[in-house]
Amino acid sequence: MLNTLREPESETIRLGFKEQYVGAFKWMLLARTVEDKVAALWHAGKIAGGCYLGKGQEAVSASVGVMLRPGDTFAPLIRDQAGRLAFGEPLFDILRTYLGKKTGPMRGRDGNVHRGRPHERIYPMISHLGAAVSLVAGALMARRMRGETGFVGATSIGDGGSSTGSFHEGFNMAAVERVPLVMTVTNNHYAYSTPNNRQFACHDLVDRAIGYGVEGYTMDGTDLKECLEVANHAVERARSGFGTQMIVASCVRLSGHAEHDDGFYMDKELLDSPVARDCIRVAQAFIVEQGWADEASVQEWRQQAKAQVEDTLQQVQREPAPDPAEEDWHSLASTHLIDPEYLE
Amino acid sequence: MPKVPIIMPQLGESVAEATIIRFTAQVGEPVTSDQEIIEVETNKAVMGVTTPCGGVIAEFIAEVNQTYPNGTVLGYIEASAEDAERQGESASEAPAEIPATLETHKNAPAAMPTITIPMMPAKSGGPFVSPRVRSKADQLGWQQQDLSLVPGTGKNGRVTANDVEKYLVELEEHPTQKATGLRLAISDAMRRSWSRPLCTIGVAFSLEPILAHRKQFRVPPGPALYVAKAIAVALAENPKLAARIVGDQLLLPKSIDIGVAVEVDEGVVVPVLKSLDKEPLSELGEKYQQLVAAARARRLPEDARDGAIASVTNYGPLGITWGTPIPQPTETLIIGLGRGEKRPVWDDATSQFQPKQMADLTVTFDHRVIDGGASGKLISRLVALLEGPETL
Amino acid sequence: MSITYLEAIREAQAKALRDNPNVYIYGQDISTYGGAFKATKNLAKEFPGRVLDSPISEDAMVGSAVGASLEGMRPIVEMQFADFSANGFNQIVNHVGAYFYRSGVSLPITIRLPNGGNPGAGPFHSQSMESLYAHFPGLIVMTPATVEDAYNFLLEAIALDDPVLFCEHKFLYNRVKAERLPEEVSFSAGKALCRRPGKDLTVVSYSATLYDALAAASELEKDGIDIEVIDLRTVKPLDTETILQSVARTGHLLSVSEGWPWGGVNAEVVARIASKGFHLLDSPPERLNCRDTPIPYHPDLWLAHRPSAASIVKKVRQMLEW
Repeated sequence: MLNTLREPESETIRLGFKEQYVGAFKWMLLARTVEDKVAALWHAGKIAGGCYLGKGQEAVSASVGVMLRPGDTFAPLIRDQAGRLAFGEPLFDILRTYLGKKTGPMRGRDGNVHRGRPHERIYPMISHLGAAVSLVAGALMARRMRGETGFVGATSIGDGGSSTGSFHEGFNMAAVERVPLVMTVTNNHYAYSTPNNRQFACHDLVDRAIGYGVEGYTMDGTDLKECLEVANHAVERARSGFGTQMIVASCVRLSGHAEHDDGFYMDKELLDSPVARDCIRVAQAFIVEQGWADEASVQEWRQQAKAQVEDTLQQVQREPAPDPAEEDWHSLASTHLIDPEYLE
Repeated sequence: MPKVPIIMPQLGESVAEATIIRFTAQVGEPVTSDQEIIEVETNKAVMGVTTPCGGVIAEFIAEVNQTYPNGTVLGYIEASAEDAERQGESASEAPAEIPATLETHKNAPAAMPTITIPMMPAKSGGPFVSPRVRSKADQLGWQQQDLSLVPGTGKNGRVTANDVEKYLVELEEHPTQKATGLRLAISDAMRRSWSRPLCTIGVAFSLEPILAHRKQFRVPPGPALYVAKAIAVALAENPKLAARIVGDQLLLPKSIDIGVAVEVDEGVVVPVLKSLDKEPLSELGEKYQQLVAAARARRLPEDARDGAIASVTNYGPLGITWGTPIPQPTETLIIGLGRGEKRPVWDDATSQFQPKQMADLTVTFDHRVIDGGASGKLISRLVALLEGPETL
Repeated sequence: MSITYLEAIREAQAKALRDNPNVYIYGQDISTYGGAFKATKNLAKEFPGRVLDSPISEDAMVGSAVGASLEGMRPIVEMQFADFSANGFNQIVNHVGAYFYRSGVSLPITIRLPNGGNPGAGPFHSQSMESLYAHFPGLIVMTPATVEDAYNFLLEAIALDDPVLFCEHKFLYNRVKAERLPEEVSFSAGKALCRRPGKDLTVVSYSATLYDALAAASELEKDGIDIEVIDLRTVKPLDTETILQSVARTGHLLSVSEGWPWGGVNAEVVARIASKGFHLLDSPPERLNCRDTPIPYHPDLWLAHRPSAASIVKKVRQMLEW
């Protein structure tokens, strides 16, 4: 059962700039709020395993997310909380997966950001970065084979992930097949602790677009307005048959690589520069400046987001954990081909 | 108000513990949910421990500068019943079986002692019984004994599964009959008895004194009873002759209990005459007749069933003059009495062979316990007693 | 009129393409060229847009199959050589194999692996990959040895809603022939078959070494030794029951595979029988693998590297003298 702030599809398409901007901003707020809560839960020992958040990348992710329509394909990566929410992922899915509940989409068998709803075309990532790129390419090839048009597939990667062979193969294939794939490469300047100069040698990651034979754009990831303009353009290009698109966004993580990492290695000058601005603050200032809402209203939006997260959490915390004794331990759907030895 | 524990979280994969740097909230202070209240340091970074819910800090158990493993309760928050109920199990509790760190194994030996593992025989076969052969033998109810009768064509004479199958085919050509319980019992007893080095000696003696002596009794005891009484007397004089050897111990007889074998349908039963050395010969005849009847009816009284330290077997009535009987597995001795017959015996007094009623007496003994000398002395003593029955 | 193992694979693909519009094939050089081994000869012409040349990107080939199958297609991915599937290993075991367990959605993907060695093919065109993939959960691994099995099993692989590693042996492609294809398609994944009944010893094998085992059987027959030969046909799931029945008859087990000695199909067979069939064994269960080195290039070295009829005969004789 869905339980989100999502507006009905038809209205989204016809929205004017203000509606789009404010809508995206609200997704960013909700993303930040739920991630703050997840971080707090982790620091209280309530979450097993790692906690990888997307603080600071909300504008990048939300701007692509609001351009997607129901029926588009979306393979989000680690720091895509805002985009997921915009695409329709329920808050319940997020909290249930982090808390490992049996009721979540992964039923405790996978956790944190490794979650999705394949039937609704939001695909659960695997930890090997770049693997999702060819998944989206293949999904888009299939839809074309069946004569479906007017849809796109979106996925994202980081400066680090773009070094993998998987990324290269998948993106090259997407370009060769000319599928409507929109790739958002977010250069947040550090892959875990590795700075750009140890990750790639080209001047700017967008230069690779030429090498791949795709259209490439850059955007300031701290500026929601610019993000919306670029994302809108790229998604429209893809949707209109101009093939694979590459967006390279620039911003800085506002947390460590994960919650166990305090980011001590990050360059202080970088952290003080405009590229490290908090996109939520920037967007809030813009909204107030435009006269679309006052500070008090924005505060109220924050409170609503908090209340929504709290309500969801209250219910989820009461839900059951998976019971090993009740697991079927099946790895195949064809039960007649499961070795009886493994069912003892 | 219920107390909700503040738990040390797992602050990173492979992080097992953290050190308290400082408390950023005080006992008694009201706190909100998700508020950082303790600063800790791991091997990766300095980070915060947050409240699991809102309430008032009730107590801190942990101390500054101390290190605590994941899952340790660091303190408590007094919270509302609803908030307490929501907490459930901590998802990052350390599992109970996390092994101790290496430092605690101070008492482990510096080097583990090596054991010499016997090498699998390079030449397999011989007496090795494979799982398949063992399984078949079990099915058939065979003992090792039965297996060793099967010709083995495997390496070094190993009995293979095929060998067993061939053997069974051969056996199948014979008509079969189920062995009775008694037969199986005797079979087992004889097999066990035979596992010892048994030796038999023999001597001929005159029955005439016994035949004369017995006439005085209302129920005359047979020659077998005289032999039983004689061995009882001889063993009472020297009980060590009937000792049993078990490991490095000699088990000496508790009392002089002698068995006398009786033929029944399908086999042999050996009723036991307890403390025979103390029983007068006069009463033996009647007593023995009752025991024989009971034995044949398979209704021996409890105390006459076992415990013999030696037995007597009288196979003379069966037409046997000389035999090498086998003692029961728990006996060291058995005495065999053959058929009496008239034989020419040299008589010095008349310088002629005189006809005399003679019989052959044999003693089979466990050579682990008794040697030739002792056995010779025993048989001589028996002859003396039997040829002078008034001494019995 | 005869049909080869390779032609059966081509016919099965043609039939699948014909019968189901959701089937397509993705691999290197498979459209105009018809595939490195001609397994897809003329299929691109007959089924335009459904037999596609991929870039040299085994990782992306498999990943794209994940996405396509999630959209309802039934992709067949042709690896040019099984050895190159190593470049797509992560996608196969961590994406494809894990998908159903994690998400509850199964992926009807068939990955065709031209598997095993040919003389002169060398270390990187000869590997047997079945053991590696059987180790990871969520994958079905088929290893047909006959024309009929190649045909039926490939059709079954495509029809199954779970991912299948279809290990077709290169040595058998043009050397194994049948008179005709089966009239009716039958599905029997997971069932081993007794190819030659016998009473003295059980040899379990599959794929190319099955023929070495059968040749060994003929040789041993001359000396009155009668071995039973079991063809696994599917390596995962493994048909323990059929093997147990055979060892119940013979009392001895030899498992023969072209794979490397450390772990693998032979080790799995022996472990299962040692555990569940302990009481059936008259001698220790044994294995014959190739040697623990990369597969050599020179044909003489290659022959000595892998099990052969001669090495099977020798091993059987040794085992029966135990």
